[in-house]
Amino acid sequence: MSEPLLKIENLSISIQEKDNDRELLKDFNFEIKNFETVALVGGSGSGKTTAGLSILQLLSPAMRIDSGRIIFNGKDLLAASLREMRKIRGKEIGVVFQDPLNAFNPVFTIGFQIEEVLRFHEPMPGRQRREKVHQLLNRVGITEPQRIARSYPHQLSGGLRQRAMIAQAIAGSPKLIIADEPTSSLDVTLQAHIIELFRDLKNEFKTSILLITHDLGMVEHFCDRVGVLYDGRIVEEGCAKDILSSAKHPLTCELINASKG
Amino acid sequence: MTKPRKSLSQFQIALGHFKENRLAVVCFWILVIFYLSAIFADFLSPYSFSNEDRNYSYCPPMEIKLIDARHEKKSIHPYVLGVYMTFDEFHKRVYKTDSNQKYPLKFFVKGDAYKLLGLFPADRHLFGVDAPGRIHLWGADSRGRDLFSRILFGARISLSIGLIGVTISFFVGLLVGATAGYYGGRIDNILMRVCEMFMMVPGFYLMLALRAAFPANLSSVQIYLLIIVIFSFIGWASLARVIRGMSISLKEREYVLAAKAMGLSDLAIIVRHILPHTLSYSIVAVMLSIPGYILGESALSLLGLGIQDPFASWGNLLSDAMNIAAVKFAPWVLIPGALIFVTVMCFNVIGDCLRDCLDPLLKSEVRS
Amino acid sequence: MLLELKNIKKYFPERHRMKNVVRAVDGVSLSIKSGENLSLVGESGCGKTTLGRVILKLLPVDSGQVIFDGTDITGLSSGQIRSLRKNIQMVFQDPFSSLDPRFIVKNIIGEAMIFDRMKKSEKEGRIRDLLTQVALPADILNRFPHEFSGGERQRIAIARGLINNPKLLILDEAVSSLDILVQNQIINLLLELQKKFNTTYIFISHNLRVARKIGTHIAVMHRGTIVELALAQELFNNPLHPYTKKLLLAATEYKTSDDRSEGAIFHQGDLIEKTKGHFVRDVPKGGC
Repeated sequence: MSEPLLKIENLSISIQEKDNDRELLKDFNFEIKNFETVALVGGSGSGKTTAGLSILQLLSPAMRIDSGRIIFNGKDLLAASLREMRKIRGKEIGVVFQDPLNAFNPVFTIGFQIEEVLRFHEPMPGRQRREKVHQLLNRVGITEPQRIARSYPHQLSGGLRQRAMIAQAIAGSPKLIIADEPTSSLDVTLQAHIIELFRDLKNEFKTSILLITHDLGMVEHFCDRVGVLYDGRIVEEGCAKDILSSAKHPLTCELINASKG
Repeated sequence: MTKPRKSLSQFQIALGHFKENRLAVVCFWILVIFYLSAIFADFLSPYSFSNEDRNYSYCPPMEIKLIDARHEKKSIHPYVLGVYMTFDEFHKRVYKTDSNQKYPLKFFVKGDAYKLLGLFPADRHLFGVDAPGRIHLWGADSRGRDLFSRILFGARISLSIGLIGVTISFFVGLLVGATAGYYGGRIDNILMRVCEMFMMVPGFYLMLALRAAFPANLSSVQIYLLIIVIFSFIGWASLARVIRGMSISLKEREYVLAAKAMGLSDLAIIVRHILPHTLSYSIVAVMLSIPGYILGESALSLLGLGIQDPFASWGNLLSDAMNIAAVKFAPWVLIPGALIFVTVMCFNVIGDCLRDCLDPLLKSEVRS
Repeated sequence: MLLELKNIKKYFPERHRMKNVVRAVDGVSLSIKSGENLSLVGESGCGKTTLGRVILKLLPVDSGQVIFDGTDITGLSSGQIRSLRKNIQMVFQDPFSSLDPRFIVKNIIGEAMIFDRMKKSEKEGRIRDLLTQVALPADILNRFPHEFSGGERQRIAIARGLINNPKLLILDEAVSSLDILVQNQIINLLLELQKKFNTTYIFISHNLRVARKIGTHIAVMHRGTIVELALAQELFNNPLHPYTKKLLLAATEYKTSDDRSEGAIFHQGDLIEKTKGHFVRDVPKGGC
């Protein structure tokens, strides 16, 4: 229990860009404990998405990991083999991507794509699998799971798609869910629904959640701890309530002001 | 923020990637050489295409000798040995060289008259030998006409027909496709049905039929133009269909909407905002269809329906190779075929490379 | 009165069934005075984008009138409209796709200047001037959109919108795809520019927080009609319509009201002026 679920140590990532390399993350250190909800906030270009995606090595080929370790459940993910990574992706760590329209394959139904996770990680007879998918869709607040499972991504509204994406992320009963700006493509009321959904899931499934966002308003209602990133480094970190009430770093203040308007 | 160096358009970026592909660059230069040779055929070839000497019928390719074996000192002036025809014991024609007759290879030689680039009268050729010697680098055909020369002249027809035909199809296809896609509705319907009618017709048979419908004694120039027209006639349709599909999705882009909001006319929007985005596909499609035209012309001429004697095209040069005797005893008549092969391969390689260069880059550069 | 909308209706036929229609805009009436910005808020699908396009004459109306600067422009053909376009311009949502990726900045902005017969050097000078005003360096004329960040591209789009000095500038979710710090920068920029250019803004958004910063008035749209219309401050302090309350709740506290039904219909009846300048559409009893 005392060992953190995820520990990122001295992570440095740079990207090859035309003439020179640009550093995305500089000596980045971060921890997530079991059952904790943590947020990584920052403006665009601060490196927060890179940090989140690097955990599962979902980086673009132009990016290069210069140094550091990512230790998940005692295992260094950066040193892990592809097969080991595959076992972890989807099963131990789930991802909710930013834009569900692009994150789903447009030529397969939603049900098929969620089933893929189960097919790979938890073999079970077909009918049982479909049942489980319906259960998952129900759990994320979709009232007609059979119809939605048979639909294609473009047939659903933004809110439904994002819920389906979340269903896919929790399909493997992961210990950690990484949510990369999960509400930025949604309307304000839908955002509220999704955040509430995350809250429910966190309580029920007892997972840790890593929330990547630029909106501190979301953080306030949902997260235990916050790390503020700027230019590839953490500039302020701590308990959510503390930071939001008495921020010390000017960037944090700027973010707080921007969220309050 | 912005970087302090010259910014490159997407085409320039694609060009950079193209240059990195060695094979494609080599193919490009091969084609350049071919086309330049075709343009300057009069100058580069020792003889005009109709210059014949029956004494040299099916003469094999001559060697250019550099060293004079008879004298002790090595002369480095290239020369050709005189050749004469005799018959062997089977009454088969053979050519023997006469080492006593040496014709030095001369450069910028006076020869048959011509007009350079069609405008400037001249009579100098790059190389040649004095009469009565002849130089046949790649052999001669049945009438003793130098194959090397005829191939160069033939290149003019074979290589240009492809380009001109494709250019016409390109413009027609783009215009029809973009109009159909942009306006949609009834215009789209009508244009696409017309397109399909053209596509239904099997190209080669149409060519034969059209050719047969015209009087057999058309001048070669008229035949040339006719072939171009026939090719363009059938070539534009498939391009138009694809461009139409692309236009349908392109017209929904926000910058098209922005252009409309600014008050631009439909034509301006199509030409400035929609068509340029189809170029990555069009250029590749065009590049890959040129071989089809070259092969089509060759096939027509081979069958005797295209370019006629005495004019040369690679296709009708190959008609000499249509009998097994010629191929066995005078294999150099196949050289035009090899050249067609190389040309087609080059176009395919370049087209393929262009496709790789143009498409993925568009995606990776738009969001950087 | 700069812009008057009278009972605008715009329907779209549903894709597979020709009988059913989607009532994108179902009877909207508005009036906007010069200098008073209007923020049009609502969830996606409520018709606000369609309304924006109708005002811009990118879509024809099915019924109703659009009166701009005293002239009824509803029935005008695209040819007649062209000269009017100088005065109504738009900034679109997605900075990645609203600028043609094959055009350099100079041509993106210059293309909008089709109404003036200016010499090339004059045009360039004007473009440089405008770029400086939107806080971009003036030497980016020969660069391509992909070299800029989202916020910078949106500034270019704003420059393009303002180059003709339009009387009305419609911003359709212009900051929604930018991150929060950049959003504020752009909003502040817009407010500054308004003073210099004397433009009136119609700001379409689903984000109430941002809408409040720019709008003098806020109109809340739901399912094709306006359910509440009031001065910005007044709307926030005293929301009257249940849908407005729901939006406000979601926007500021990330809690939803108990009403989870996304299918509830909140509009029936007419817009009634409850207090001076504050209009609400009545909800029948027991409707929510």
